[in-house]
Amino acid sequence: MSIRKRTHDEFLAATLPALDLVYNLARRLVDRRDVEDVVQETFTRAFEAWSSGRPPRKVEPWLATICLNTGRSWLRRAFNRREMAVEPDHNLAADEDVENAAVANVRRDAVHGALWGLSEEQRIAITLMDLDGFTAAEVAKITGSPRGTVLARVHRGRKKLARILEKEVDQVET
Amino acid sequence: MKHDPERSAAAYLGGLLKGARRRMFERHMVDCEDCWHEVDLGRKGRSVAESGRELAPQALRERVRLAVETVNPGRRRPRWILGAGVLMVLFIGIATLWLTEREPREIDAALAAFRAQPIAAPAEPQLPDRLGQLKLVRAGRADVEGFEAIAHVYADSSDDIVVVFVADEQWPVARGAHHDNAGETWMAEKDDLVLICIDEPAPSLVVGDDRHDVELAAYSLRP
Repeated sequence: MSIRKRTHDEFLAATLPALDLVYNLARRLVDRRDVEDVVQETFTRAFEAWSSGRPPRKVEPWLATICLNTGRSWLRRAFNRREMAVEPDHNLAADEDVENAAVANVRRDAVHGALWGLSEEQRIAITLMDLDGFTAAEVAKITGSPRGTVLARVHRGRKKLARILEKEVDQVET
Repeated sequence: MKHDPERSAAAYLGGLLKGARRRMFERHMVDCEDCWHEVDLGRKGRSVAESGRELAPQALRERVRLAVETVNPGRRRPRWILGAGVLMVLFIGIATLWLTEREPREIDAALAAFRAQPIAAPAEPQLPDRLGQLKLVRAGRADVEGFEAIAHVYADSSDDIVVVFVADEQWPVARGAHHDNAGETWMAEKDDLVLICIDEPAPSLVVGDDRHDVELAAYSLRP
């Protein structure tokens, strides 16, 4: 096996298990049309760093940091093009017609919409802690914010989410 | 300390409270409606957020794999390679500058020969016996760093010496030389010596410590 191939394989073996993590973060960073592009750019940037002799000690926070920077660059470019799109998608997956899956999708879409109703800082902090499973200390490092600030953002964001969903349930029941 | 249910709940749910502090807050929460409410809302919100977790599409996994495989590994070189490259460029630049600024060795050798006047073997003079007031004293072969030349030693009435080195090929230009308007001759000063080079009728380098004598010899040589 060539060195080139081995480098690719080692990188993919170490990082692809974190694809869902990166995907969930990108989903809460940029418009749904750009999510897959941001994920791809995150991994190619990460590979360039990796193959230049800068592999990380821990893959997940490293990828999350790269994804965050990539997503923010993406947003800046979109903003400059005046194509800022923060509209969440409420579409059901077209290829899933099983009732349970549809219900799950409705719930997930509602949560996704609710998350987009939060401020960007709260949305990112909640995504990193509750969806990606990072600790408060790790989120603080990834976002460059103090741990107390991270916890406050997460807690306030969670309260808003809980209230938004409570309201939706009330509306359905009445 | 001021009672802050939001802050306390955030710290509790974030895992910041450990051991005795955690147990103390849990006991407090049982009696404190505000703290209980904060923690309850926080837990509900966390549960809601967690339910939004998604799996990346399988197609994206393949797309990422392909994209990574098209990137050449090590496209960005480590910093030490960049540093070594910069040093190498600096080294080449300094070496080039040093080499171009160095005196041509034939000129150095001619100056040394003037000072020592080592005429290896007498040779048939190629120049006239007199150049103005200067009188030919002797002529002989001089090895100027592999540059075969005939050295003609002239003296004026005060026994000041001027040596005219006549070669078969053109002399290199001395460092810091000034060319005449036509670019046919050049003149330079090295320490206490004056050099004038003329190409016609033969490539000749005139060296002496008396500027007047050197100019006179060079003027006399020109056709």
